[in-house]
Amino acid sequence: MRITSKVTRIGVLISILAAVLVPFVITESYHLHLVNMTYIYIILAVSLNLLIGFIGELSLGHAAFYGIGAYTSALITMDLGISFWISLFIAIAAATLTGFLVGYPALRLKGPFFAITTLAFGEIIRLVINNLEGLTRGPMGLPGIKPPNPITIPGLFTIDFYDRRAFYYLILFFTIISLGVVYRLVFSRVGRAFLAIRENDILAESIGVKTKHYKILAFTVASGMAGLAGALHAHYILFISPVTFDLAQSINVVLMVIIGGSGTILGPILGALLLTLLPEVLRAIAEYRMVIYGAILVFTIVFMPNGIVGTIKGKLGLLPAAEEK
Amino acid sequence: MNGLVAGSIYALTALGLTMMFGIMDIINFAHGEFYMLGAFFTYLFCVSLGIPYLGAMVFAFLAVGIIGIVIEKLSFKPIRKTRPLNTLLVSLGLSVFLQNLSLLIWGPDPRKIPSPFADKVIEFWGISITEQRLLVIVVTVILLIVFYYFIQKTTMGKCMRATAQEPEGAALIGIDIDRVFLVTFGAGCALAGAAGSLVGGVFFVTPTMGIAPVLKAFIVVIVGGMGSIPGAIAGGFFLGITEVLVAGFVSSAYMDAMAFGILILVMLFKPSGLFGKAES
Repeated sequence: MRITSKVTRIGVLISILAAVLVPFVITESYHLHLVNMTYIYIILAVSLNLLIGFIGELSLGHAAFYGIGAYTSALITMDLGISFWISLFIAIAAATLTGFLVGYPALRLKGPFFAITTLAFGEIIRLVINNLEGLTRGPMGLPGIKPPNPITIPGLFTIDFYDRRAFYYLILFFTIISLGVVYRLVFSRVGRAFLAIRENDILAESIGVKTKHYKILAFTVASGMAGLAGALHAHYILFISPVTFDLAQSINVVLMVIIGGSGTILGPILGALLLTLLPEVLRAIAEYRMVIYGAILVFTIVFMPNGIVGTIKGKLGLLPAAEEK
Repeated sequence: MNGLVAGSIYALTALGLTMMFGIMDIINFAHGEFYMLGAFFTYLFCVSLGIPYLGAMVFAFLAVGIIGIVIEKLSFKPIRKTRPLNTLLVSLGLSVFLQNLSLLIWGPDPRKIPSPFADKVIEFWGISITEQRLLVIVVTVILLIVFYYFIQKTTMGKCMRATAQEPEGAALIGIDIDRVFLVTFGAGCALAGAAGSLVGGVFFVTPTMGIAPVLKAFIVVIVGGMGSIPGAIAGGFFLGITEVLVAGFVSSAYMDAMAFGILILVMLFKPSGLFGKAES
C-alpha cells in the first residue's frame, strides 16, 4: 500500500501539471470545449461512482440532481441578479439538500427497488421542470444565462469567463476538488465502511457499521457534486433545457461508470473521457452511436463486469480477491 | 372505458415483468422494447406480408417470444450467478440497444397498423367504443385466462411456481431451471409483444413507444407487489382508471407525475406492494 501510494502521488502531480498545460496544447476552440465537457462529465461520473461502485446501489436519477444544480443557479442569477459565485454554492446546497431528502427515505430500499425509485424521482423532476413553464420556460429551455462574473484584480488583469480557456481552469479547479473529496472519502474509514456495505450490508450492520448513515452520506455527497456539475454546465453552455437532464442522461453517466470501471477512482474518469470523445471520433457512424453503447454495456457486464480499469487491475493482481467477480 | 383499455395494456406488460421478477429475480428494463417489437412485427406482417391483423398478431406474439428466449440465453444466463446489479445493467443496455436499432431500421416516423377494427364504433348500454378498443380488452382477458390456466394447471406452470419459491430446491427435485427461466422470459416478452400489437391498432407505432408504458408497468408491478401476478393485473387496471380520472378531473400535464408519486409513496410506506407478501 505504501509503495502504491507514493506512485499514486507522483501520478496525481503529473496529471495535474498536464491538465494545467492543456489549453496551451489544445488551441482549437472546439477541442477545448470537448475537454471542458469531459470534465463536467468526470464530476458526474465520479460522484455516481460513489453509489454504484462504493455502496453498490444503482441510481437512475443522477441527471435530476445535475438538473437541479443547473436550474437553481441559472434562475437565481437571472431572476434575482445574484452573482454566480454565490449562486454556485446555493445550487450545490439545493442539490445536496434534495439528495438528503430523497436519499433518506429511498435508501431504505435496495437493489432494483432503489433503482426504480430514483428513476421515478428523476422523471418527476424532469416533468416538473417541463411543466413549470412560468419559471423554467418548460421544454423550450432557458436561454440567456450569464457566464460567471469576471474576476478583476484592479490594475493587474481581468479574467473574463466568456473565454473558453478561462472557463477551462474554473472547471479544472472544481474537478480537482471533486476528485479530492471522493479520494479522501473513499480511502478512509468511511470508504472502508462503504465497501463493507457493498459486499454485505447485513454483515456490515452486524459488526457495528451504521449502514443507513453511510449510505445517506454517499448519496448526499454524490447529489451535491452533481449539482455542482449542473451549475457549471448552465453557466458554461449558457442555455439549459429539460432534455439535458432526462433518463437518457442518467443512463449515459451510468455507462461511463460501468465501462470505465466502477469502484475505482480512475475508472469513471476514463469512462467519462471515452464516452465524451468517442462520439466525436465516430462522427461518421453517428447514427449507430446509441446502438453501439447499448451493445457495449451488455458486453462489458457479461465479459468484464469490473470495467476497463477494474479488469486491468485484476490482471495486474492489484484487486483484492473479494472484488474479482 | 379508456381507463380499461389503458389498464389492459398496463396489466399485460406488468404481468411479464412481475413473472420475470418473481421467478428469475430479473428487473427487465428492456421490457418496453419487447412491447415495441410486438407492435412493429405486427405492422410488418400486416403490411409487408399481407397477413390479416389477427394472424399477424399471433405471429408477432411468437416472434417476440423467440427473440426473448434468444436474448435470455445470450445475455442473462451467463451473469445469473453474479451480483444482482449486473442483470439490471444488462437489461438497461438491451433497452438502449434494441430501441436505437429499431430507430435505425425503421426510422422515427410513426406508423399505424391497418386494423380492420379501427374505425367501427359499436354502442351498448349507452357507451360507444371503437371495436379496436374493445378488442384490446377482450384479447387481454382471454390472454389472462389462458395464462392463469398455464400457471395453475400445466406441468411447466407448476415448475415455474416451484422455481419462484425456491430455485435451488426446485433444481434439487429435478426441475430444469434453465428451461423454466427460458420459458418465463420468453412468455413475459411475448405478453409484452401482444400488448404492443394491440396498442398498434389504437395509437401510433414508433421505436420509442415502449418507454412510457414500461415505466407505467414498473409502477404497476411495485404497487401491486413484486412477483405477485394478481397484483400486476389488479394494479394495471387500477392505474389505467386512476390516470384517466386524474387527467379528466385534475390536469393531464401532471398525470404522469402523479403516477410516479404513487410509486414513491407505495415504495416508502409499503415496499412489499398492496398484494405482495410481507418480507420474511
